[in-house]
Amino acid sequence: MQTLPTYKSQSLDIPFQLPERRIRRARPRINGQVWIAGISRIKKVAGGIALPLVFPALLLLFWWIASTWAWIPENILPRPITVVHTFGDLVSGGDLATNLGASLRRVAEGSALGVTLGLALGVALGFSPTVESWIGPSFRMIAQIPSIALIPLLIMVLGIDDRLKLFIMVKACVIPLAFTTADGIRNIPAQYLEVGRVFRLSRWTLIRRIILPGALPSIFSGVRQGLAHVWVSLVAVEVLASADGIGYLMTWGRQIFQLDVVLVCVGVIGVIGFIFDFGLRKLESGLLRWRGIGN
Amino acid sequence: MSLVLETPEAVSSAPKTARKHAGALNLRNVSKTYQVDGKPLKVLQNINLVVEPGEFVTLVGSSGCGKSTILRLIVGLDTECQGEILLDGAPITEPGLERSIVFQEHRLLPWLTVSQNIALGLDASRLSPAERERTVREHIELVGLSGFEKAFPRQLSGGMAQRAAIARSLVTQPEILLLDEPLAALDSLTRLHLQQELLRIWSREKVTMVMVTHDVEEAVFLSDKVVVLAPRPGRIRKEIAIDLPHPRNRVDPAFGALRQAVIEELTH
Repeated sequence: MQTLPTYKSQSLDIPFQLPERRIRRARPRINGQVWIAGISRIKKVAGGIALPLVFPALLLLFWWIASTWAWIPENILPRPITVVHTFGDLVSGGDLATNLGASLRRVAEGSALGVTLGLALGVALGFSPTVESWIGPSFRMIAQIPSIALIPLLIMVLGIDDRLKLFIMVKACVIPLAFTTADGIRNIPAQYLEVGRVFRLSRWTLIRRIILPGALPSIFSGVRQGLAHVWVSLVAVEVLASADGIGYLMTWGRQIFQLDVVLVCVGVIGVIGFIFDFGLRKLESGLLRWRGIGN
Repeated sequence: MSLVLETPEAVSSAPKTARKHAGALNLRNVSKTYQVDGKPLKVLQNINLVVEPGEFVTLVGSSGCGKSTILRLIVGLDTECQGEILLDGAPITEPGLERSIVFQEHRLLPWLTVSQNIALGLDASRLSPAERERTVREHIELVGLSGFEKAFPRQLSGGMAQRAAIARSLVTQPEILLLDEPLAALDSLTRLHLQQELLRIWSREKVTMVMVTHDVEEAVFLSDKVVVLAPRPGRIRKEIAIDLPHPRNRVDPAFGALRQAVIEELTH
């Protein structure tokens, strides 16, 4: 990542070259220096990948020691290798694919509906003080109720099929997304809005060139939060009330006292959630290139 | 680039698209009162000011004398005041494209490139896309930012960003350009250089300029008329005509005398 000082030169304010065109100096061809430079580069790259892996590796080691020395009985804490075998069995038997597929389909539906409604509500709350004063406080109150706390009540009303899951996911997504979107729109600096007034921008240009891009960082963090909530709340509903899905597979594993199945599910849930977040972060830094992060 | 001034004569030989005309501005008995904690606070009192078409006028004064308020009233971002503000005889009621402003902070939108920021000024114009592009390019050249069309504001130095802001405010071909301490945040060398650039642009674009500054030397160097304001409530203490020819020499005794005269009025 390049960092550019805003202050370019002692001398006059003459245009300077942009970093993209920076002239690359030939590196001195002294063997030792090249080596040192090469090694430090490898260290740098490897460090970026390796450092985040240190903690999981230590955890795995601890798990391995704990199960090998039977600090915890093996039927409660299976060995890592058992879990790997179970993972293989669940994959080859198709159980994982079936259940994960069911969960991912629900996530896709829940996210699509949740993001759409969340953005719409957020835009309405952000632009219209009337909407804010009518429904803002109610939504703030609903936001205080954890989705999971609603499940017992909702099972009575909606049953345990996909409608329940959809409702919970949408609620989990809409609330953070709507509020961050509304905040993003309301917090556009007044200075920029004045620029819009001075140049008599049309309403459409104002939205497209000033308000939307200005709110985009908030909207993105809302989408990330919203989708994380969708995934977490779906797994929770599946654990409590479902006949398939990754959460159901986990409950099933616990009921037949196969904790290796539970651990496989835990791992898969974590990895999927991580992939969602990682993908969204990449998309975010691509769309928000002007901020100069992540490129 | 050297500090040698490009004389206005030298550049006026390359005329640009001619402006319709430069604006004549007339402030008559302008007063303004804010309500602070329920109490009235007078910020401007009986401001009377005439700015001739094509004139370069600077307002100088200490903080709190309402300099920026005057500009906000002229540009139409603020409309609550007593008295009259007339541009070519018509009262100002809202922002309009015949008036433009450069703020102290450049206020470029960080998510738009230099070109896109400048093109923003043309949103309300009826130019064809090709004409838009040409106008934007001309103005990028005018402020010396060629090669930086695709740069984002964070990639520019303070001086370059302010140049882009000046280009954006001129792209609408305003009759009058307001400058609210546009050089105050820049280092002194960049500042000297941009003062010359402002003069060059002023003489080439034939636009009326009203600039607010803290810097007496800057005021005397640039303007036809320096208006000294007194604070609390903001009022005009004195108008001092600067009748030196351009290019002006900062070490010229006549220049020094005028600067001294302004300083004396300020510290009166």
